[in-house]
Parts: sequence; C-alpha cells; structure tokens
Amino acid sequence: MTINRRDLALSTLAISSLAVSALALTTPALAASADEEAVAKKVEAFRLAQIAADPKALGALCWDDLSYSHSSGKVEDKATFIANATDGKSKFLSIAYQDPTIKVVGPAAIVRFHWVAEQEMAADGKKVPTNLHILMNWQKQGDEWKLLSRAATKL
Amino acid sequence: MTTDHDAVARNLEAFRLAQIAADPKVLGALCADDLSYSHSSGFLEDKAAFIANATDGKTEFQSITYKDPTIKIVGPAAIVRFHWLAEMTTGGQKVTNSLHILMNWLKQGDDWKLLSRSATKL
Repeated sequence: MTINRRDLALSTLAISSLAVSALALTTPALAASADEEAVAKKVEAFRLAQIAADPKALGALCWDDLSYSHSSGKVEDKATFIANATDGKSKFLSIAYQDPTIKVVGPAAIVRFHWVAEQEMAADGKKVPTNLHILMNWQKQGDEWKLLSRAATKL
Repeated sequence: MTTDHDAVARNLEAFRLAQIAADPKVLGALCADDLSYSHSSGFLEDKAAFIANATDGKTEFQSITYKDPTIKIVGPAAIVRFHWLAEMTTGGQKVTNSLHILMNWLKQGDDWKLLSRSATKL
C-alpha cells in the first residue's frame, strides 16, 4: 500500500478536526453557556416573528422599555415597533441573520449580525432588498431574556 | 444622592470629552472590558481596538456634539440615544458627520460602563 501526499494531508486534517471537536466538548470555555443558548433561541424566534409579522410573538420577545431604531435613524418604542412591523404595508420574503455573535455580560447580551432581507411593498408589489449591520441588546430579568434595544446601520 | 440617570449623564459627558481629547486612560475607565463598538460603516471594534484607533492621532476632533440625548434606565442597563454632530480633521481634510447613536451602558458594581455602541448615518 502506498500513501500519497494527499492521503496524508487528509488524514492529518481528520485527526486535527477530531482533536478540535474533542476540545470543544471538554473545555467549558469553548462551550456555549446556557445563557448564550437561551439568547440564540430568542434571536431565532425574533427573526421568525419578523418574517411572520406576528404581533403576539414579537411582543413576548421584547421588554416594555424596548427602544428600536431603523437604518434611517427612526426610533420606535415597543407599541410603535410592533404596530409598524405588523401593519401589512410590506411583507418580508426572507430575512437572514448572517454570522451572528452573542456575548453575554452579566444580565446583558450583546448580539450582532449581518441582516440580509428582501421585502415586498404592498402598495406596488416592489421588491426591496436590505443589507444592514445590526446591534441588539438583550436583557435578562428573572429567568427571561428579552430584547431591550436595537439599532441598524446601512452597509 | 446621585440617581442612576445623573450618573449615566455624567459618564456620557465624560466620554464625549474623552473622545475629543483622545484620552486612552479616560476612555478605558468608562468602558466595560467586554465593550463592542461599531461605527457608521459597520466597522466593529473590541475595547483594545476602539481605544487604539480613537487615540492614534489620525483623526483630530475639533468638536463633537451629543445633541438631544435620551437616557432610559432599565434595571442595570441604560439605553442612551443621541444625534452626533462632529467636525474633525483626518488626512489633512476637514470633515463633518451627522449620525444617530445607540449606546448601552451597564451598571457593574457602583459604576456605569459603556458596553455597546452603534452608529447610523443620517
């Protein structure tokens, strides 16, 4: 049996990725914390509620003190955000939260991602793509993580 | 007795002055170690990168105004928003900018520290 250079490279790769996954399983510092996982779940629920334009789901994911701003700089409180996000004037065909990062710092979680979405305007059927950098700040009160503030930056 | 609102307002003003002065020590003292700071381009910095870039002398601020600030205290968090208007010299050019800023401050012990910041071009 001959082992060529490519086989050798592949087996080295296999061994090193095994080593990395073993490390990830056994090293607490590399494992996602329970809070990070809880926030990740909420962020995904929020994304789906935005696509569904579901006022009940959005309301349950936001604190009453929510402060939400758009890429225009327009700021909304919770009632205004939910009203505008579910008024049917535009419909999201897709929203991706790309490359999300979640950093938990005590009762706060800093969430950032690259927003790539397409929406269809009800008035004229026009399709509008958006490409944004998003900062979200989630807060833990009791056992619950909810969205406290959000800002958007045009890319 | 200082209220949380007053304490955040004081730190916010200290932060504005430290940005103009490009003072790494004061900026460092006002930011949480986990700071996440983004610019109007979407460019993202951690605490070390933010302080290094804010004080490297490549940009000199003639003025920074935090216009119409709002501060909302929610438990250990403060949501701060304002309209940023600044004049600066960068690469020998005078530049002005107009931004909407969101800052999130976090109370750590008795101190309010900047935890995250985002900027939106107006």
